[in-house]
Amino acid sequence: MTELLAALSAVIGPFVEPGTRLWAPGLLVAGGITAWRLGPRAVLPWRIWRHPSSVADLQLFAFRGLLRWLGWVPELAFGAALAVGVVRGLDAALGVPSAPTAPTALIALAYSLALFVAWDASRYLVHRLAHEVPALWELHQVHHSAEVLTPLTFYRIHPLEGLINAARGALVTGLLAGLAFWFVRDQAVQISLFGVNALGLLANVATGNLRHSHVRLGFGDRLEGWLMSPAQHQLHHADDRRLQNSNYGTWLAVWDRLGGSLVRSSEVGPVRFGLAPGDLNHAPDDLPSMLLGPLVALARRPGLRLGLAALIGLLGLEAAARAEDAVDEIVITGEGVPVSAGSAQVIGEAELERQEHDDIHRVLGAVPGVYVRGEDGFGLRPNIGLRGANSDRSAKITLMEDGVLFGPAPYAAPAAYYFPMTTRLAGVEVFKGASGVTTGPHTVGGAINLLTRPVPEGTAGAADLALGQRGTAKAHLWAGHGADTWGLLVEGAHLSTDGFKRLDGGGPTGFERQEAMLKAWVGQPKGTPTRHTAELKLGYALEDGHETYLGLSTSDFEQTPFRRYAASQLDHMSWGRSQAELAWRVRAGDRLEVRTVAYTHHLDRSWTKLNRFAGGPDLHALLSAPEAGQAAVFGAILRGEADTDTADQRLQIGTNHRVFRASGLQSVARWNADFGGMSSRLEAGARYHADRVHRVHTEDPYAMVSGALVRTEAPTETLLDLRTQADALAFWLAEDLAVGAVRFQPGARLEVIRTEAEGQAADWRAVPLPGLGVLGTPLYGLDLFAGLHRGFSPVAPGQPAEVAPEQSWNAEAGARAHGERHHLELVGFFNDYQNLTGSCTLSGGCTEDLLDRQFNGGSVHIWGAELLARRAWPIGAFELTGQLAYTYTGSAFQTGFVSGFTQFGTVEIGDSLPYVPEHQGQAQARLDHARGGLTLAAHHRSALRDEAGQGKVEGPAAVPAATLVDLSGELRLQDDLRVYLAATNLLDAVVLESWRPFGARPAQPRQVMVGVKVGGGG
Amino acid sequence: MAGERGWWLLGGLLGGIALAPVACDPTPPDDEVPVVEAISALLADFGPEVVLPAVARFRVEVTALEAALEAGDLDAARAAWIASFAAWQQVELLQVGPAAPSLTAVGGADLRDSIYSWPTVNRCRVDQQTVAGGWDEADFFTTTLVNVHGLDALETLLFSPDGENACPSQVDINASGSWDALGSEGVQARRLEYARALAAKIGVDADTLADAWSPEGGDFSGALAEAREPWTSQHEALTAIFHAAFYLEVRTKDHKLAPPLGLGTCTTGACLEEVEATLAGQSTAAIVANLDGFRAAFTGGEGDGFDDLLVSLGYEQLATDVLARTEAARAAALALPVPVDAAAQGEHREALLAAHDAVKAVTDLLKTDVATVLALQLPVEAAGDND
Repeated sequence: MTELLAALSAVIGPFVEPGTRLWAPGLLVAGGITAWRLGPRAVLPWRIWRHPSSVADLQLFAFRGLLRWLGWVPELAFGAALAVGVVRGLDAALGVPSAPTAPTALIALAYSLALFVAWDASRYLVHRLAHEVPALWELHQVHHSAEVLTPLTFYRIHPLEGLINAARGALVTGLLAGLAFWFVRDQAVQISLFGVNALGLLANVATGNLRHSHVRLGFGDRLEGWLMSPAQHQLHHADDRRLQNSNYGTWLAVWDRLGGSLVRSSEVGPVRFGLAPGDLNHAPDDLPSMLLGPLVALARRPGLRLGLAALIGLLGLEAAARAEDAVDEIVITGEGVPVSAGSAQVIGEAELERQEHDDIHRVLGAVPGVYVRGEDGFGLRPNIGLRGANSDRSAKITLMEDGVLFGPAPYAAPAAYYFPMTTRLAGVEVFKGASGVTTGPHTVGGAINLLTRPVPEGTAGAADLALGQRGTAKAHLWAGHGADTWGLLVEGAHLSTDGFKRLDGGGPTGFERQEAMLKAWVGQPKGTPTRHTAELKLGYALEDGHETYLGLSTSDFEQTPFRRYAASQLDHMSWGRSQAELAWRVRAGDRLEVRTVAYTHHLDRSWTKLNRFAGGPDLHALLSAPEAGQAAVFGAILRGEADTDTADQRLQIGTNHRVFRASGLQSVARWNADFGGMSSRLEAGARYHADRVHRVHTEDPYAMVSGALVRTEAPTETLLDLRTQADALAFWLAEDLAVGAVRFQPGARLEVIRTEAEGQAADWRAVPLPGLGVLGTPLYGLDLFAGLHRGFSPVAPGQPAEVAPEQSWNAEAGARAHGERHHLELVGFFNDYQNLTGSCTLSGGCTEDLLDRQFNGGSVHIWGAELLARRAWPIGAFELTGQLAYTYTGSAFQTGFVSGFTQFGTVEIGDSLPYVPEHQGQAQARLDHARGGLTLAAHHRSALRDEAGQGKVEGPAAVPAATLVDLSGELRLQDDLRVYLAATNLLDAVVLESWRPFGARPAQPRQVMVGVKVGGGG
Repeated sequence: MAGERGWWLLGGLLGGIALAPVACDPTPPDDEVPVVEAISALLADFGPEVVLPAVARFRVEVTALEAALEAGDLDAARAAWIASFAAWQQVELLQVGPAAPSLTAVGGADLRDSIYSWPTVNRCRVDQQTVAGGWDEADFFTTTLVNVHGLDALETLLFSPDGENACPSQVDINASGSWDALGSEGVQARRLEYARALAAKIGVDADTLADAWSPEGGDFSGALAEAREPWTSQHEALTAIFHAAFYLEVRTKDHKLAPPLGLGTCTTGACLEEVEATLAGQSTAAIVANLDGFRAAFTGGEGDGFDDLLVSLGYEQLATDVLARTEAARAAALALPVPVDAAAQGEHREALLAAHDAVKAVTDLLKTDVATVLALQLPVEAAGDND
């Protein structure tokens, strides 16, 4: 199955590469011109697409893709080697020329033009030979037997002819590149767009797809003497032999003029495409015949049998066709690319209020396919992963608040050190699978969109005050008013606790957090046909906490799980965040809505904490194993039971100060339309996003003296002072087309990302991300759906050259049965990662020297099943609801390697991913009444690996399986007065959540909060 | 249906792809790794020809130490300690398996730290323990830290000035007067008693180490020779021996020589706090012995070692260069007439610098040419070195 999926991916792959004609922008341009010239209905005329000739085009295209994937077409990448040979030869013969004085840009332009012209001239020559040399015509006539032309016809080429074309590309490119490099050395850089020659790309995007189409687009007599128009190429496809032997050129018409083969489009009337039956060596609509017919004809040619054998031996050229397509042929075919359907879950405000969690980890526990890894016991800095995507600092998922990225720097430093307070959320949306393509940049796992409170209609407000054990206090207040033309909302939230850990020698371990939000809007009255509104959102948040990275040794965790070592006594986190967003919304009835938002977020954080010993063992290793020998001395120093005696034993307390600014402009248009029994919901979006990050990391050496940390005389060391940035343009298009009981949800995303680290060259990447979802409703209340999409997670700035972005193909299929009182959903997913990356964070257990480094994990397969079942039973005035959410996840590295990323370590083929539970689930029982309700929820996850591995999860580094039970209840005294109780970890289980960053970290013990809520609604 | 034969062809092809893993054996045949005889010989000889003879020599000296202490002959005990110390400094380079830290090493059992814990040394703690007693109790060596029960603690007991302790005045033994209450003779008697217990325990540790390597005992030698459990491959075993030899880089050069010279992480001109065996004045002897240990590890003693491996790969000159530089470094260390701390501050600083540079010349070869030729990774501590 995996192989099958990979093979399909290989066939579909060319659709998303900028260097091919199937590239989406080129198709969009072709579609646009067609719609302009012939009307929208002519873009995809059914009579052409279902024509046997088009079907044969598609089959040959798929066949060649499969051949390439199977490796049955040898690689033909001699272009680079040829270039090197040319340079060496010229160096030896003529010496190294002195560097030219012309501006670099001019040289690049000249080189790009030279390549463009050389490619075009060579293509003319080979094309003409294909017509005039009888043996080559036996092959080339496969292309000419097409009776209708579509962009796919470009790929209707016999595999052997593909090899010849590839050889031509490699030869010309190699010769010219070698010559240029010899002459100007490393200034021989072509002007490129998306990694391919800009001129070629523009030429192809402009009219490339129309050359093989029914759209007769001419350029006029004068221009057609210089540039080859689509109409001229269509004449070349006429069934008239005289016209076939004309217009051989691709981009430029000058070669045909010189060769006497130019025919202008105005000279000839409508033509019929294809070949006369007597000219054919194959059946034009039959794939086996198209493949074998030319070979048989060649074999019958005396003297050519030997040549045929040689040609077959050169099959490798075809593989290069793929590479050469990117450089040279720039052939764009193909149609739109896939999104959507699939699994998306929403947790509404009622559900959030019912459970009254302050930890987002608990909230997400009810969503299948979401993995969370606790760290501090409060969920202050959540670690959330989706469908196997690494949970570390939620860096592999797209995090949004009201549809806007909220991570400190989602492209440049995706670790989510800021996360909105759970208590003030009005909803949580989780997108997985193909539905995530409209959100980015991280599409490997999916996206989480947090919904903040909307401005109410009319006047409304509420207060929520709660107190709990260990000095925990919560206050959440909001008030707002919404009129016909304006609205205002103010909201504030506070959460503080003394903490549940006890520091050796005493000291604070709790935190304090505040958030405030203001929302305002002004706009035209409701009912205005085209209504404009302006919306403002301002936010401010603060945290001051005594949080640490230091956990406990195994033996200490067993005896005193809530202890904190003396070495963490100075650990302290503080940050402040401000946000401002200004949006403009235009709404034309229910048909069209465009929302454009400018946003800027600023986060200034500083975390002081124990990083390491100056020498001696790594803290994670030290606390993960029984202490013996010198390690025991280091352990005693951590506890304050021994003093620092040597330089190695100094405790390096680091302060990581980071300032993030993320700004952007995003516009999303949604258009609903019904036509011909179909309904369409189209979303188009564009976003410019800029991240700026400044990291200053310092370390101060301390000595442990009688249980207290004392600053030594050694100076403060600055480990890092680095600015990085990322600028990204994203475009996306998603359609939800309902045709009867079936919805087709294709979509595509394009991310163009520029990253730069101070002192290093900038890195550019353009990544197309297609997706396709299909959803069918065979019976009322039953949905069947499937989806396939491209997963991607960008490379952060300043990474070594070998680090590749995370990329995958993600597939899912599922069924959903739903009704008034039941919901049953079963989804299977399979993610085929071409490269899975690990990212070093201190929280992940990495050391300072590797901080923020990314590591390739190579090919990985992740698969799983998700179940969500809910049923409600009315019992008199009560309603009892049972819910089960379960996720099974399997994973296997497909390659073995040794990684510097500690969570990978030494990886063997078949190893499973660390910190992804094989089984996890939540069972919930809920009893509701008009006057209140009671919810009991049990969360369970199986054991976790601390490092990649296989077999049973056990040993000292395993994180044992855990079950936690929560209870919440609410009593409605009056409509606007409620009292509630929320007990987290009701059974007071001692749970080990993680071995990261350093040692065993406990989940919060039983925490009971009692509160009162006044007001609400709105 | 249009293109029906084409669909059959594509379907068949896809079906073949999907079924291929079922039809074929997906497990590729094991790569036949050519057995490099020289590596096998090196691994086979490391235990019997390098480790066991070195540990045996150490055991002989410790036995003499035990006898001197039993006889109450302090001078003889000091001489025996010096001999034991020198013998152990060779074993320092051989921390593979049982001697190595259990935290990081394959087969590690922390015996090295138990015998000698430098640079984790705390003389005050030894003095406090001298007052507190308890070394006769069964759990003394499991409940106390290694810095009160190795050769380093023994040095404090044997070489400390009469009646003096290393603790600041506010530490309990001075603040409470318990040290003074013992009197000079009382202190001496307790030190001797404590030293006997330590010498006996070090003897037991040496026996344990020898037994772990012995074919008649734990046969770690055999495990290494055959790269069997706890080893997973010859490469892993070879790397472990190679990394053990890097003691010369990360300890001898960067810890014992560089800080007193004000090099490396030392920013105050001369960092003398961690100079080894200053009471006994044996810091220079330790460096000489380290080089002897390195030579044994490199040559495989009387057996096959890295030199033979390099020769077998055609790098005879490299092997010769390493040994020549080792001899040069040894000569440079021997040329130091005084201990390292004295040399660092006096007229012999240049000689100390020469010794440092000579050791660096050896380890530079180790880090570059040898590591490259043998395709072995450097230990993390050495890989991060910028010199």
